[in-house]
Amino acid sequence: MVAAGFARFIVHRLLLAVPVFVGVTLVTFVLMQIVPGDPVTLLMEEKVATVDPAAAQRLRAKWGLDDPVPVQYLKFLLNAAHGDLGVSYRTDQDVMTSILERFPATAELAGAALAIAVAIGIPLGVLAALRQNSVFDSASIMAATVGVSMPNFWLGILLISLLAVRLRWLPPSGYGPAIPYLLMPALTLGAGLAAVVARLTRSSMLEVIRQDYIRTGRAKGLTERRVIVVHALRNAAIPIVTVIGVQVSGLLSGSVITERVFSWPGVGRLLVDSIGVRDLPMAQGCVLFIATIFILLNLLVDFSYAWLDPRIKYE
Amino acid sequence: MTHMMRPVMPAAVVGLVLLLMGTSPGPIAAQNPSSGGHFRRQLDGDPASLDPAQAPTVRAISVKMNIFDSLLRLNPKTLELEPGVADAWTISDDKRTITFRLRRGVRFHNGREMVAQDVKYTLERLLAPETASSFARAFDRIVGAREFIAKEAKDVAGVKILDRYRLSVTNSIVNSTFPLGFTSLFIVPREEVERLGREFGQRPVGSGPFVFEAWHRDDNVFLKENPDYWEGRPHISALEFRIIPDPATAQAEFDTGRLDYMILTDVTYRRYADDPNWKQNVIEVPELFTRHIGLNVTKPPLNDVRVRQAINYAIDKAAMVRTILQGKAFVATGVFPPSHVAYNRSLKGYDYDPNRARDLLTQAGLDGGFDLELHGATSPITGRWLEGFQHYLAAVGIRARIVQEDFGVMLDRAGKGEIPTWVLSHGGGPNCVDYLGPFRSRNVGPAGNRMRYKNDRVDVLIDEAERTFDLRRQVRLCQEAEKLIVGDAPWFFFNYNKAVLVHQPNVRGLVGNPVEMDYQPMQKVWVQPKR
Repeated sequence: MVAAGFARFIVHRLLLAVPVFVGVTLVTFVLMQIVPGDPVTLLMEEKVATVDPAAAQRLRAKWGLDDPVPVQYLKFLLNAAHGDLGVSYRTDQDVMTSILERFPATAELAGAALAIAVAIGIPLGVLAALRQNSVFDSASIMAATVGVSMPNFWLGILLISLLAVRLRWLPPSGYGPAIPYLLMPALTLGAGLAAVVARLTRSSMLEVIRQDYIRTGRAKGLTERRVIVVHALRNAAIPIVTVIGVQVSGLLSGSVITERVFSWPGVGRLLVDSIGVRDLPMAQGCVLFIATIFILLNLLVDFSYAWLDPRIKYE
Repeated sequence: MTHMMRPVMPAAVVGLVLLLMGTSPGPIAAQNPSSGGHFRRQLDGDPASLDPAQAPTVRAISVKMNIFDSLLRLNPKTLELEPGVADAWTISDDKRTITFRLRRGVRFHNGREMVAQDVKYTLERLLAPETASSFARAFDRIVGAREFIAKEAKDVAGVKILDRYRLSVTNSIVNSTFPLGFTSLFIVPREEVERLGREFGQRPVGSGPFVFEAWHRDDNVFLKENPDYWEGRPHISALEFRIIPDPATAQAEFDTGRLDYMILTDVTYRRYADDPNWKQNVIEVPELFTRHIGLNVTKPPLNDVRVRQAINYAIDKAAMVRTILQGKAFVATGVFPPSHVAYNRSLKGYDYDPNRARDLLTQAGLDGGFDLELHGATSPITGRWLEGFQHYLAAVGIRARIVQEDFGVMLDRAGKGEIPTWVLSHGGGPNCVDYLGPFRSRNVGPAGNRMRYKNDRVDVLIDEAERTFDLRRQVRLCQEAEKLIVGDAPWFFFNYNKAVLVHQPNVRGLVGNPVEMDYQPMQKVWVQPKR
């Protein structure tokens, strides 16, 4: 029965994803049509900013821009349904291949940033909650506020200036083995997220540690460690997991600024570069890919609720 | 009669060009080139495609010119045509046919020898409608090209193979800029293009001094030396283009020795140019780049030449170059920059004269001034320029409102005639006819003449200049056209960019290329081993 309910839940969620996909592509398509700027102009003559009308005509024909706009959209939808996201105007390369080429770098950075955020944010939040109104609590709140407020590009440049240029400990930028290349971008991206996680953990823990079952646990003689980690943290985890899920979806969509500062070859830069030259197939493909990640991660977050709180059932 | 083509450049101009051109520090020439080494240079974005028929961007061409060969080359110091894989070329008496003779023994990276048939294939591939190449415009007036493009002919009649190493190309019109096109025609091997299909742009095979090795998207492009290169083995054994979009990061990479040279911006220029430890490693050259404000001459009150002249008199360009641009530019007096063969030293242009500007506005019936939208791209540098313009224009009564928008949006709107002004840099090649393209009435709109400027005499002069192969006459005609254009003021003539690079102390052989600083002949560059 449980398995059947679970399967129904998955099918239901996946079916709901279809209108989301169509909506996302439609909005992207319409936006790219509305925004002024012609891909033909932007891709033809970068240096002299002039356009040869005959060549422009050939490019339009090649890209199918001669078709009426609704036909262009329907063709895209039809091809996308067959797994074909088209060919980039800018690179003449298969859109899906381009995205998949960048995704490992994005995933690596997102994973490392998340690990940093969890490793710093959760212990900090738990300790701050346990020592509410202490100096440690105030200091951690202050640190979290600074962490949230610091712009990525600023922190990134600061780290480069200190760790790469001044101390020469790390390379300033580039993509390579995790140590040394991943450290600075992951720290830059993870710092803000760690602050969010710390603040959320603190407030969630404060709510939970006042519950009767925590007092009961202590009365039963459980160790403080077990009370906090197994009983309090697990119950406080639902809002934290929800927020982490949303944040990780964002990270996996590419972190444009961090990627730019550290010359990290991720999906975020690909999307922004494509929008800059109105490369519709690539922009459309990236948005669709990001939407897929959001949907899948939200699904994963929903599954995790049942594990965290067995009272939650999928029906 | 047929003759060897050797472009003639007036001695004075050559002298001036050499004088203004940056060159590597003197003692370097005396040193012997060293072999080996891994050379790292920057690209500010992914080159997108390395197919010679695609991606007409500076960053893509900077890479492609090392992988491929062209029939002719442009000497970065003199801007004269010089042999590439064609060791000789002749122009027919009627000035329409060029005959090329290929060097023997030039080999593609797959080992096959390059022959005349490869040039014909490259040209036809470029012109084929399915290739949709923006480079095709340089060759679409070849005899039979239009029929080929329209698929009415299976080959281009004007491209004839004379023997294994010689071919002739006949243009349907007399156009002095035609030979220049062959400096950017990178020859491709048919079998590799057909084998790789669309992937050819991702894994290119050429005949140039470096062989394509790997491309990690948005990260780097790796090339290795071509030991069998016809011009001799390159000095450096590996050439890496590192894709670093952020200028501050690039600077950190250079400062930590992980880039062998870096292009300087207004912000970083003084730091290296004024530093006694670095200044001997700074190379600068007046780039073929004219920064201006485009003025839509059909929009009142800009349709009155006196108003456009007033704008030119109102702004203190010298002060802006000195302060905002940190001296990394030359004040513009006209269209052609100092490193251009058609640069006219006697052309005075517009001095800063706010009183004259006010008088001209009064004559135009604009005593109370007027409102004007100043459009520019979103970059911080453009923002600083716009603020400078606004300040000076306000002093003569022109109330400018700054509109910063996406570059593509601005270009699109300017092309459609929707906006009155826009800040733009006009870059062009060494031929003065090409450089004056935005002032030809036939190019109104996105084709370049966004000002919608029309002067019949200017059209005639440029047409005449296009038809003559006599360089002195061509330059004279272009300069005459330039004088009229400056008088009509469809631009606010702002400045000519000074292209500047700084290199590591052990790097040798880089040159100041006024066409584009990043177009470096890398086969001639070497890295002196550190002691």
